[in-house]
Amino acid sequence: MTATLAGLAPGEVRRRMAAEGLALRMQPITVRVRSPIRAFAAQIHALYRDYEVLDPRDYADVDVRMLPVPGVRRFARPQVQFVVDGVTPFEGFPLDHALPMFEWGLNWVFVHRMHEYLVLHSSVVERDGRAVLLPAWPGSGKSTLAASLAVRGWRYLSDEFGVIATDSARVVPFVRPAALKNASIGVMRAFAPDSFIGPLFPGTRKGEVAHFSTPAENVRRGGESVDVAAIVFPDFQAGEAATAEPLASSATFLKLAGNAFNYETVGARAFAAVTAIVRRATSHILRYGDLDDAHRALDAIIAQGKEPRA
Amino acid sequence: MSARRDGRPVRVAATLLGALRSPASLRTLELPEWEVLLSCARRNAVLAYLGERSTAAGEIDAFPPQAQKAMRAAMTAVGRLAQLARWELERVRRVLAPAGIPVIALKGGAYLLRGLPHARTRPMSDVDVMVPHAAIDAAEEALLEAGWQGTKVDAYDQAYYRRWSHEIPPLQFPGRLLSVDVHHTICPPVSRLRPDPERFWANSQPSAMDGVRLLSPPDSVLHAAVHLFFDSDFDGRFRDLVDVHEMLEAFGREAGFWPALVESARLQGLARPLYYACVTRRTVLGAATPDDVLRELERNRPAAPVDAWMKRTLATLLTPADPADWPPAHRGLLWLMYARSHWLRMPPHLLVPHLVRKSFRRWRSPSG
Amino acid sequence: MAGAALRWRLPPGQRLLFEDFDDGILMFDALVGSTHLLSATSAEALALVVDTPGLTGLEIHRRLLDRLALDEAALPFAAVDELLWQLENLNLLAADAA
Repeated sequence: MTATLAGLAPGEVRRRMAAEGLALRMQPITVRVRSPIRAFAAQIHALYRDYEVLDPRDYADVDVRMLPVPGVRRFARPQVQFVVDGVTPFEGFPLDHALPMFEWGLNWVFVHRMHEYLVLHSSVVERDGRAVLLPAWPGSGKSTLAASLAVRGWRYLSDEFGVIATDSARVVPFVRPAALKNASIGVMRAFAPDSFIGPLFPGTRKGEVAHFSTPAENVRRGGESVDVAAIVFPDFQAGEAATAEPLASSATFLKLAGNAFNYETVGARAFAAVTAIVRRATSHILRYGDLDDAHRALDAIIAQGKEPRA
Repeated sequence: MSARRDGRPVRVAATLLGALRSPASLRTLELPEWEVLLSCARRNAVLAYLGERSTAAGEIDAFPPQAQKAMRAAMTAVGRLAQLARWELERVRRVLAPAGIPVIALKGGAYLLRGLPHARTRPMSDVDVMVPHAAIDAAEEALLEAGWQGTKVDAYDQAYYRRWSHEIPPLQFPGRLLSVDVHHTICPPVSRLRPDPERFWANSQPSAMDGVRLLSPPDSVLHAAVHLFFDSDFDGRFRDLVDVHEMLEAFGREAGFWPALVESARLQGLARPLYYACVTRRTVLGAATPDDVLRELERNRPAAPVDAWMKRTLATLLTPADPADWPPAHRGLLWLMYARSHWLRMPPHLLVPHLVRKSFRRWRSPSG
Repeated sequence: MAGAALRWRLPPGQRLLFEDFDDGILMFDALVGSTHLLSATSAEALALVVDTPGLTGLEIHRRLLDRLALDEAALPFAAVDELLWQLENLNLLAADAA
């Protein structure tokens, strides 16, 4: 049984983060984070409680320091910087927004480093050995939909990233807290009142943000890759009954490739991986106004399997 | 966080420099030391370069999987930038060639067209070209007409570029990543260094891309040597030293290169930057210049105290930065004030507002 | 028309990867690193040049009419010439006088 962050006392978490660092396994990477900010340490402790704690002296794929900006302007709002490899890639955030900054910053670093994978912009869930890609597009509601599936027995692989191993075209989990924004926070609280949702951060660049932490099982199964059986483009329309409309192959290809983080960088390998996924999986646009309705539609989609598709 | 071996801290810069000289030296590294090394390479924009050197030396496959992945990912990302740079040059060529405007590709684009091994390992954010001074306005117009757009620089920068600099403000084609910098010479017009652009054109060579020329090998080296002094990019200097080194390695084997280099430096009044580039290359990278060449260049060095200060400061500035340093030491600023006032005849009090503006803005842009 | 006498090939170092889907052909240009959704005509034109480098514009036009079972009115030479130059502009094809 691996040691998880829940097993550390709050004082110890704070101490490590202020000193040699807190190292966590966030498959497929390992991350070390350091910060003197107490509130941030407590939030990390809660949000990542199910994650395996590692020895901070061991190799980490990503090393992040969340550091208060050296006090220059006395009466200005205190700020925090995201420091990686001795540089700060972004402008500072307000000090009390250290957690959303860490989450977005880590996403940024992941996308800039993990070119062994093709990284799609997509939520990913799985049932019965069949993964469903839920690509991101404005108004999709993918994060809320994915989070709601996670609390109803689906395995949850990722909120933001469809991480594809280019040799096999299988999707690799990257289980992280999901950043719910604005209205979805309320929707998720209503749908699953017992689910773990972290503190609210008002006034970020993306509006109100709160982080949803998925059931611990997902973290434990973070090393299990799976084939993509279905690509589902969610389209939230309030009041609409759930309807699934098939989407043609080349349109699917262009949507996936066009929305990926590193398609052009990965090049020919990416072309081959998207091809394999599109040939292997069904593709639909799913219009829905109600989460339970959407769940039933998804059940039907993955049950239908794959007809031979040119 | 710094690497420790037997309880003593190891300067990661020394490890990195040793690795670039001989990738085999990395065989003994423990994983935590690897992490520090990879971070340092990334910080100094040479991770892809380290990967290429390690591949060429046949060492990379024996490295730990984490190190291989990190290097290969960097080579992939930077390789893509190289591909984009070639494309941008191609698009520029298609506009300027029919307009009868001759073009010389500079820096990264030139290294790619020459097929230098390190060319695909340099992160680039823009493509540099040179056109004849008389054609600079026509070139800008042609590119704007063809769809490139002036980047949003404020009135201060516009004035700075056109008055002090040797280039028009950067041009960006909408939807594409790399911008285009169009130069008309290699040094700012108000500098003490006044190379004659006509000679660069006279010595220039055709490249693999029709309609795009290259500086001669000696002139390419002189350009890179001068660039070490003028570039105000805090993060790119070590990589710029690597450029000088790689070119001297590649060209130095060709018969007649060294005499031609010394002669060009003499004729163009660029012997001093070349001298310092060679000296620093030896101090930092451990790469030697032929004795007779060095003796010839030493004739141009300043008085001993100044010479000693320059060598020391250059060695400090061009040694790879340690990513563990936070906040990073602002060692570059003092040097720039000195170097620029020295080479540019710009009084320090005029330099400060400009340098502070530039560094302030640059500090906010993502690292490569 | 000047274009008629030129011979069409892939640019040096060019490598094209084609994938046929039920509703379209996707192609990866390995030299430039771009992905294209091709019309039937473009796909056929590229396939012709890949199979037989050095064809003139006129020859490509004739073979396209044949392969796509179209007559001159449906696909005039001017349209094919324009297509070839569009592909040339994307560095997918190169024209020379050889």
